[in-house]
Amino acid sequence: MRTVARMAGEAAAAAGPATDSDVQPVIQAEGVDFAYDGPPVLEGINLTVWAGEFLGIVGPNGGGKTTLLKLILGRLRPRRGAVRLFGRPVAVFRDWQRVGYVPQRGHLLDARFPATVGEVVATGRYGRAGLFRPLGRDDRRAVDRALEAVGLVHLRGRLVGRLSGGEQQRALIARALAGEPELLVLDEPTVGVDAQAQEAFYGLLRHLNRDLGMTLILVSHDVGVVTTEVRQLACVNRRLVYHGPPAGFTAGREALEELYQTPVRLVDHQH
Amino acid sequence: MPEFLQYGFMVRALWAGAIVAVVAPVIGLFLVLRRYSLMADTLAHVSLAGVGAGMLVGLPPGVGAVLAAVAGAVGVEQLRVRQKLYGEVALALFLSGSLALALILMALAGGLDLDLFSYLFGSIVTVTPLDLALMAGLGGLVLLAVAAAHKELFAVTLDEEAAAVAGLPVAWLNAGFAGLAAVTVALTLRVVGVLLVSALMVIPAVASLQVATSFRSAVGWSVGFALVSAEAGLVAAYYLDLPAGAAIVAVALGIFGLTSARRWRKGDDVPVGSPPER
Repeated sequence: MRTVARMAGEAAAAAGPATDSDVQPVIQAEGVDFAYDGPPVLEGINLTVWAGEFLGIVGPNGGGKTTLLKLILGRLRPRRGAVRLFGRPVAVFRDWQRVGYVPQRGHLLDARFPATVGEVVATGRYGRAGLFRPLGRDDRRAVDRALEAVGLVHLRGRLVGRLSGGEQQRALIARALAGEPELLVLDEPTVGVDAQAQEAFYGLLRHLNRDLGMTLILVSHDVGVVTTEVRQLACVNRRLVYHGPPAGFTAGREALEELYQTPVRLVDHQH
Repeated sequence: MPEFLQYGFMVRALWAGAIVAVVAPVIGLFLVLRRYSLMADTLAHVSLAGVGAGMLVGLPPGVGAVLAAVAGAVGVEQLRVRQKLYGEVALALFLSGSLALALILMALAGGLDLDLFSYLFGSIVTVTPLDLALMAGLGGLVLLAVAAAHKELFAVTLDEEAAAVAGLPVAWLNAGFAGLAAVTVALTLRVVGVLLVSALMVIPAVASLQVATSFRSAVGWSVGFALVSAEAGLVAAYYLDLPAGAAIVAVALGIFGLTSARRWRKGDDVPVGSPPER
């Protein structure tokens, strides 16, 4: 795992001396409202994520978790309010190589998509390599390190459609790591992954966060597991219902479970 | 030297077939993987309308075909992006609509009976040296563009959302790709005709998916299959006195059959385009 440490070090070096993430939050959402064509999906979201945090976003289905993620990633524009990434408004943010994104596994692949693990993981490096430029030696090394970090080196020549659920998930994480991001955003990454693979997955996340200082955001419907792993928790159900350490959330669990079903407006903001 | 190589028209036909066989399946592979196979068919019909319009205003048919196909590609892509219509509805609309428009324009130009048949089914044996030079030039440009943007096109085809988050200019890449597909369709048109364009773009690509062990190898196999189809099909057409376009597509289908049979015998018949196992 030493290789991964080097990787994060290089990512920090590539971002230049005294990166603005030292002084500015990685993510800052202020008064964000959002609606598709209809009732509001998110209202009055204020959320700040600092460098090195491990934030879990939980909430009921349809509560707006994925929408919040899309707002953070600039895939959607807020109706009101603003989202900043590394201090820059998302709309004008250009340093996307600082952000790694791991989508839901089912979203990725046809079983017959003719791509090897190595080919898929390399796409995660394209942002850093630059438009229309072939991958250089450093880029190929970063891909190697990403494969090592998730333990998929021996499968790099295998077609992705032939991987197990857990292996596919690791391939997607490796793709994100190949870009040497400072912020890693994961959307329901454990769906369809068996318990043993989940164990290894959370171990990898702990390592990335604690040992390498990578900022992590994990969206999940699995409240039970997430609360034991993350260091900060945000519960979203149209509003930001809770934001603070997981302990505070589980302590008031009964009240919150009630609230989970009924959109009571209780905003508990602990830091 | 085999007899057919003594005829200039046959040599030119074989060259034209080879050019198209290198370009068409590469674009076709991307179309297949994006679940957009019908795009080739649609643009072929749109280029026929361009041929009709060209006749009416006195443009060379090839020029009309390329211009119309590019315009059609931009139109379809706009409809897809804005999601005013489902993707396949937009394609169906353009496909049948432009065929009707083509027939009307050709009738007005007085060339309906004369030319329609050759455009519908191809006229590779009437390729002139000038045609050949144009095809080589345009085909070369498409290949160069794909070579320059291959990693971007691969990333967008694999996962459009992740490509966008990674900062790739997805909208521009899609528009550029649609333009390349349009030029390729107009080229392929000359060889196999409107009705068989998508066959030459799609079938070798699908066959390649049966045997590919990587994306790189899929590109190689699809070009190889298309080359064999085009050349063997032309030779077969010469000796058996068959329509060239149909013979080419028949060979391609034969290859697809063989690759599928091989896969099936290995007890490994995941259908193309099936979702990942849960």
